[in-house]
Amino acid sequence: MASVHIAGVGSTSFGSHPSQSLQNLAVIAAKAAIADSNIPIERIGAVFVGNFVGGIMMGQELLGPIVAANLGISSVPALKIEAACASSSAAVHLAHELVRGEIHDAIVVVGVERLTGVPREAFTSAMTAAIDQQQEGIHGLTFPGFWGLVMNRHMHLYGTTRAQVGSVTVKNRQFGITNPLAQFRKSITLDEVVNSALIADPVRKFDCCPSTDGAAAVVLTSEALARRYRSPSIKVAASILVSAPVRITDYAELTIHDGTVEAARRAYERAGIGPADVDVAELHDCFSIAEIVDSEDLGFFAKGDGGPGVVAATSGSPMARVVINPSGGLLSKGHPTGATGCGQLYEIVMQLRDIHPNQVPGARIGLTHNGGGTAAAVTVHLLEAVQQ
Amino acid sequence: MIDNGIIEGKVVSHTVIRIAGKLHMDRVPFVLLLTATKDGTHLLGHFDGIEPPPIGTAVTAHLNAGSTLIFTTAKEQL
Repeated sequence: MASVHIAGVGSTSFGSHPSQSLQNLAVIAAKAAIADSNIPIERIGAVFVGNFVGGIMMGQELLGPIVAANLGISSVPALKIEAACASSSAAVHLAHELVRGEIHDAIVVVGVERLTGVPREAFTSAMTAAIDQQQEGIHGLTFPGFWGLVMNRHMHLYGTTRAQVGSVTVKNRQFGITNPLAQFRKSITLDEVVNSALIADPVRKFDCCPSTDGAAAVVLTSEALARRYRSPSIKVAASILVSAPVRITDYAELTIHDGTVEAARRAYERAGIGPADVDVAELHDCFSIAEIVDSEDLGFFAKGDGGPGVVAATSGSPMARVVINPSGGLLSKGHPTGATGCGQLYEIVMQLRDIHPNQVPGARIGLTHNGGGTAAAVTVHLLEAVQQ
Repeated sequence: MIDNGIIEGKVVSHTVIRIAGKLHMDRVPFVLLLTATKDGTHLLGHFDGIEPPPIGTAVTAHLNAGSTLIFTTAKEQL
């Protein structure tokens, strides 16, 4: 088995890119990642594209061969991989397994999405394609609705307050101010969050991540290849992808997301570390309550302590050792669904290279957590800074 | 628990959908309930009202194959 490294990363800004096609966004990010890695393009053995709704929103499929061709790469495996909002991190996992298994020694993975500039109902319909239409879509369940159900349950069981949940948005907007890639770069007050329009009670407008365009890419290589080309590489200590309950009625307990719990357990075991060893995390805060639930399921806080834990994180309390979503997270950096997983990895690589605009001092171990659908496809990646 | 086509359960959680996809946009706002029957089966359905019942409230619904469950509070139903 080969040791797998992220040899290079690239990203567009996240936000509105009305003049750019999916292909162009993907190529910009992928070229940047390949250049960053120092790996000659002829060494790339496969091209994977993570994308969720390119067909629905843009009428564009077959992104793998198209992006590969536009990169000047031919006669390699090139395909699109879809796992809803976890599409590109799922693609990274598959690439990781191919490099680890010594099938290829360099693979470029790019995530891309275009979501802005469409009517709200069309956007909502596209996103709910990741809900089981036969069982639950027929009832009108949406993703804000899913998280509204989770939030009410969390508040009922653990006493989590409206203010604690709103603090997630306040914190992540603050981080976004100094991230040049972020969609939202202005602060927000707790009053603005808790008095914004209701979307799916008790979830309000500013509890929701925005719709976003963007692309991000990583180059995965063997450690040997990264060393040969003096790549500024970061070790992938664990890459885990799991499936989990696809219907809300399948959850034993709505506030415990089995996919995140299991992916994290396997990732920590693979890397030989625990949650207390993680310095910085980029986790899937598609809604403010999601950061609370996910941070518990990843082991950063005991179940039910995520609410006060988030408040502690905003006040510098030692209760929150790990720094969560210093990129601004999905709530502030934005959520170009198919690109989000690679975007999270981009952020953690920058942290472990010690060059992030919101640098966590001394960060050596970073975690990404990316969820697709109703947390039905979940990835957890653990990255580790290594001596060059 | 299902008896003579009547489902009996308790509210696990609730939400009010105010922004819906194309297929449901004409019905907003509507209340969605996640309920649990005595045997632990979870069911998702609508609530016959604007204000959702608190978590733990007993609710009932008629079982109609192929259509959305519509829950009412047990007191009203009985």
